[in-house]
Amino acid sequence: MTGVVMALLAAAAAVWVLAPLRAAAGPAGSGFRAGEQPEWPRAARVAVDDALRDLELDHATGKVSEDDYRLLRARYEGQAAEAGRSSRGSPV
Amino acid sequence: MLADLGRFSLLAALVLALYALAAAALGGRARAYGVSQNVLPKLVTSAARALVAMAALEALAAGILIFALVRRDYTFAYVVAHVRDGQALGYDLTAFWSGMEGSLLLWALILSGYTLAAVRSIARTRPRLLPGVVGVCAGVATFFLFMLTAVTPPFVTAPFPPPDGQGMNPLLLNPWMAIHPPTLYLGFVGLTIPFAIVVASLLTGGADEGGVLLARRWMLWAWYCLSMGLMFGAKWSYVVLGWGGYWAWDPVENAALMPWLVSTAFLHSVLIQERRAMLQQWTVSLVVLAFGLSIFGTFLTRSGVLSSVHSFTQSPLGGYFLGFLALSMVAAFGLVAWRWEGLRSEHTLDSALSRESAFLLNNVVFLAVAFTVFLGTVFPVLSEAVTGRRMNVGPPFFDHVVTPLGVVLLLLMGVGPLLPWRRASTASLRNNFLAPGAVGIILALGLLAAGMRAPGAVLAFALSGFVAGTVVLEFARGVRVRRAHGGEGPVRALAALVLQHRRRYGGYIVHLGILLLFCGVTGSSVFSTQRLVTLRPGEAVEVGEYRVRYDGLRQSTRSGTLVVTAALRAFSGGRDLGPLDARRNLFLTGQDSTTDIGLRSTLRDDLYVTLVGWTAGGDATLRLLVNPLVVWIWAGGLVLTAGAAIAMVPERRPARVREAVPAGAWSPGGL
Repeated sequence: MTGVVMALLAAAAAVWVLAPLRAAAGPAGSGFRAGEQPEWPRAARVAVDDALRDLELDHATGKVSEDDYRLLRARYEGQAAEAGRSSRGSPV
Repeated sequence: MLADLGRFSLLAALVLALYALAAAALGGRARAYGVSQNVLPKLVTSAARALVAMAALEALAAGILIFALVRRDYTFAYVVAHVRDGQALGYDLTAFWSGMEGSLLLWALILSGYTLAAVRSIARTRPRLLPGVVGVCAGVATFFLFMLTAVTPPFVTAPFPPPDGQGMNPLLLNPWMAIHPPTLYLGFVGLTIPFAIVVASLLTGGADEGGVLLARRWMLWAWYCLSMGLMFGAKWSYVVLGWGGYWAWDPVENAALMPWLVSTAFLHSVLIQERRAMLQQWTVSLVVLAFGLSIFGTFLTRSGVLSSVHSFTQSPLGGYFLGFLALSMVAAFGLVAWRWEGLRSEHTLDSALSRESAFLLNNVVFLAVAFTVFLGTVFPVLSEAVTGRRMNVGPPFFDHVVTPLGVVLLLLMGVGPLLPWRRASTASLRNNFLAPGAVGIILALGLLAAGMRAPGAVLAFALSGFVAGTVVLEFARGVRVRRAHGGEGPVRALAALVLQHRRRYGGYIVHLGILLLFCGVTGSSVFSTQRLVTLRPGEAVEVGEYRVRYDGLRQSTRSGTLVVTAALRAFSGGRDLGPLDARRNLFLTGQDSTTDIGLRSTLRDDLYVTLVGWTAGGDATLRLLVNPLVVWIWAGGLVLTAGAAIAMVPERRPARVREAVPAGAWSPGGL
């Protein structure tokens, strides 16, 4: 009985693990969900938004000089634009 | 049958971990090995699926062990060693992690849970890192599963099952000890994921900001679990061991403190990387070091190389852990060295008076404390290796070195948030430091006027006042800015401020929690009063502002335990505060005994009584302590929890946009 359970477990694990390798060749059958955009550009955009909000607060409370504020704002806006371009379809 | 199934589950899990490691390595380096690009995602998906199956098999093994413990199946050697008839069911469950084998199985199980969550998250956000993360997690799992199958197997059967088990060490039969180890494990094991992310980032070309930001979220969770684990351990030590303290620089406590210190340093240095794109080499090194210390801590707890009140006994695990630690550190730091130039920052520190300088100094001090703790902890082993004699440095060494460094950290906790990035002007320094500085000075003068003469305590409380002033000032300024721009009411502005800057203000709340903890430690260390007295029934003793009357001894038996109770009554300034019994529990089956302390806690102080001994004539020897501000330590833990929870709440996500991926591009999923 124990041997049967073990054999079943081993077989189930093997089928589950090896299934992606047995799938048909090509991206559509690769085991990865095609058509779904990785979320990194969105996550990057959220991170940039957070950084911009923090920068605004630092600027308003005098923690960043005017020059640094302009420099950092330009940098973050550049990153936001890049994240926006990525999320519009270019592969990661 | 169940033992066989448990053994099989762990062996099959080990095979799957090895497969995942190999498939992830091959998948990640497909091009280098000449493997078709089409095979790459299939291999990585297959490796990730192997981790899912591995987790399921580990869960099955854990379920079998828990079932055996709850059923008190004495055919299992592990059950015999950790359960006995009459032990409460709850402790039959906690026996799962009270022994070496069970605790390693729990470790592997937690690692699998974290791994699946990380793989799922990284597959969505940074698929490029997936092979590396799967490979590292599979590598760590392989080590622990090897230990569970070959070195300390949990499914050993007893050839002649006894009618009853030995039960758990009575000191572990306490609710705080029930949650202390798993919370610490959540922290220790949690450090594997940031390590895996950083290693995967380095393997794929360098720890870019995205990878380190991903690692930060996991590090924050691990840090929080370590904080709570340390706090629960301190509480257990305070209420169970009966010595009147909560921290003894025990090697096992230190084992958890070291990765906590390094991960705290990381959580600060990553802010500099985010804002100034600096310290990348340092930041990734801290992640690697924190992971290494988590394995080192496990080695300390399980090798028996150092004696501790709550480590596991002598075991053959030490060599394996040291070998794994050496291998993983050489590989990871080798990888950091390989990418060293790519991690170099273009920016440098502009001024010593800047926020990044304060954070950098804070990092150096955290590392200095961690090194001190490391040195003091391993000193007995080092001294034995060099001189042949084992020498302990003891708490005075730690207190003398760590206390001044702790004061410097406290100062930096106040200074850091007030300094601007890059460079501070004289005007901004005056503007920022005036109010909090005044709070600190006024507090110091007030304490001196009230008769406090201990200079260290006055300094610590004054600095605490300064730091509290900086936190209040930061909140007040943020609210003022929001109100000026949006015209919101103060409560709404405060809520919006915290919600929109969760990491920053969650961090400030954590600072308040640490501040409470620091005040509690200072008060209870500097102003504790202690008396050891032998009283006859009806006699009373004065301790601090309390009077404690001893009314006699009571004896009773409770499930194989003789309970001796000293009936006490506490008074303060003539006011009857009620009964305050102190007990000793003598276990009739062995030599063990435990202490139930008499405890009366207020915000001001704790009245703490231990029954040390008694005579046949009914005299009782009592240890009485008045420990000021101990409740502040536990309150600090609650405040820290609130701050960490705010900081850990995920950012608001923009609406999900589904767009078609161009043909040939690959994206993750299907796990």
